[in-house]
Amino acid sequence: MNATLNRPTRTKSRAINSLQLSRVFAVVLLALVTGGAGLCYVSLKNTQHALGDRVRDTERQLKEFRARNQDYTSRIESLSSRMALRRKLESGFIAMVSVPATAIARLSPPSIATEDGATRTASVVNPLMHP
Amino acid sequence: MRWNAHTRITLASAFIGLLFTGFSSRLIYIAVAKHDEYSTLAAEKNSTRQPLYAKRGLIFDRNGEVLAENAPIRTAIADGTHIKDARQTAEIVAPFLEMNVGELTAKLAAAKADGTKYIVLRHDVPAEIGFKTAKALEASKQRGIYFENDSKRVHPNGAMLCHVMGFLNHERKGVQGIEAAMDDYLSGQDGFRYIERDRTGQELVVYRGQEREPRDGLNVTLTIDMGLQSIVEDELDAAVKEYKPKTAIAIMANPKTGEILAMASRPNYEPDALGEAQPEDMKNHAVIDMFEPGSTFKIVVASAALNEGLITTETRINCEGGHFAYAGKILRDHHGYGLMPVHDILMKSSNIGSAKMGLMEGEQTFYEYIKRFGFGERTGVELPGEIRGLVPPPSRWDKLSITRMPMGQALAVTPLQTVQAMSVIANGGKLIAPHLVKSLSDSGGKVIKEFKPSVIREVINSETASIVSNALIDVVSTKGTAILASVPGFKVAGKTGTAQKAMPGGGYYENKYVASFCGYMPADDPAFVCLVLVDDPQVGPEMYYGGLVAAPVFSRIAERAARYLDLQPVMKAEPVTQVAANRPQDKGDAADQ
Repeated sequence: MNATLNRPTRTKSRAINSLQLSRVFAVVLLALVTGGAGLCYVSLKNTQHALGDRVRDTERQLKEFRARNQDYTSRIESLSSRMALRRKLESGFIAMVSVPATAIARLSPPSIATEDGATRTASVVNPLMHP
Repeated sequence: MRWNAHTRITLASAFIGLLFTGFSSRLIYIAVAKHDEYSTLAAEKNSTRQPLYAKRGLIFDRNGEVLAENAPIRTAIADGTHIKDARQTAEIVAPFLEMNVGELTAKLAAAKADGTKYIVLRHDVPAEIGFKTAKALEASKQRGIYFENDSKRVHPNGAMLCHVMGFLNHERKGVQGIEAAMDDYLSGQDGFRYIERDRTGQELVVYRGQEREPRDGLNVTLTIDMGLQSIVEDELDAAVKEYKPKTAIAIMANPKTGEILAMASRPNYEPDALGEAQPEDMKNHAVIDMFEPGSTFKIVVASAALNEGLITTETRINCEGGHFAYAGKILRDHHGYGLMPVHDILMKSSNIGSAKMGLMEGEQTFYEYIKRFGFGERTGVELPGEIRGLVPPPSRWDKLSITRMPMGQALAVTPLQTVQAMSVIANGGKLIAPHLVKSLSDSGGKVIKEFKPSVIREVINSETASIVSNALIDVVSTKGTAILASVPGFKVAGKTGTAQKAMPGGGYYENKYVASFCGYMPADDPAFVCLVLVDDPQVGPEMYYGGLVAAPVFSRIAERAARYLDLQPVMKAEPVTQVAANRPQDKGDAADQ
């Protein structure tokens, strides 16, 4: 009985840190949002870099195609130039066949539309003679 | 102060607060106060200015035929800091670049050891080889060899029109011809882009900075017609083969517009193989050389006398039987002529008749007409290095000048000036500036600027031009000095010239002549005026005359040009009379020596 009386009495209940769920939720949410935003940023940045790489590759390919196009155009021009045709003619690769006079139909030269105001479909006029 | 928990917490908070304030201040100092300094440092370290090259404009003839274009090439470079295995890289690259493996390995190893970032391995690598090499390197996971884009100028027609076209130097700047004259338009404007690279040297597209797009050069369309140019070059080559002259020149122009349709000069060069060309081959003698014109110049004195009303078509001038003493010297004609009208003086190319017309005009009037015909001034054609010629003012004339200049001595003109002057007669009296550029257009073909004919002045009235023209028609007849310039079926007008070559120190060479013929066709409505000039033809004695050397070349050019231009013959085609029968007349213009 005395022993019981001498024991210090615990007048208050044991101190417990109460878990404030709303605050925890807010902190977790903030952390998630921040983390998510960070991950999004990193992901976007990676996507941006990946797209950048694709842009670079596409640009390189375009440049290559353009260069090849220019290269082939240049070769075609060289192969079909007046000098190249002449070389082919001299080597006998191609030949010129003269058109006999009997095969030429000569038309009277057409007059220019501006001279008489008439509308025509074609008026082939030597530009050197009528500048 | 009590040292309790509250105090300790306060002090700790204050310390942490101060620490972060310090960090923040430092951060603000670096980010704001030192922003420019560090951003410059960062830019220097990571950011580079990448040039974006503009494409040089193309050159076309009047019908759209390509005369000069760009072919893509690559320059192979090595970055020593990116090379992993010099030997392996060299083994892959060397066959493509046609290099020795051992030498290339040594080069790459040295670059790697020194950390050299830029070594040019080879220029002028074809674009196709560049692509293949890059792929081979990628497949073997080697790097450090890169290909820079470049381009070279290509001339599909080779040496044809080389003097007009000109060429580029190693900095891709035009040096001669149209390439130099129109360089500002052709070269465009390079752009740039600020870029950053990762540690492997790849560009980080995300961090692209300021950028300016390149502006491609404008395309230049010339007045040259390659069909006519081809004819002129063929015939000039034939003439060079036949006469083996020092130089030979042919110019064809439209007298009504001043458009130059063809221009060729010999010797010439291959613009795509400049290393083999001699400096002399690169000269465009049509605009940078001057010659004494000889009898072609008689059109000036005759036009002046008629235009000033000093003579009429009826006026007869005493040609003194072929010997005219003036200022202590005897002036001779090849044949002795008596009284002759201006028509016959031109037709027979009388030196004495021309000298007498010069005397009638007086020094000042004659000089003014020389200038009005465009001599002594640059024509303004779009070719660099054009010279004025040499026309001394009357204050520097001696007593003989007034009798020598009318027959084309004691002054010097360029071949292009001669064409310009003959065009005055052909077009009815107007001096029109010769030009080579027809228009400028952008890469999409939109015409940006068109060059119209520019009439400088009216030199003579149309009546005078008509009288002189009629005389020039008879020059190209059995009565005149240039029957060999005739073209069956067409009326041709023109004037021969045979001038003894002047020595640099004064006087004339004994056996060196400049033979020329300048004419136009059809005479009544000229489609073209053409000059053929042969400098120092290697021919037999008494065969060096303009009527014998240059006139036949003109005839061949004109005949082919007529076919090309589809000109309608106006006369019944008759064979040219025998050459031998006309030779005495051909010599007429040579008696001025």
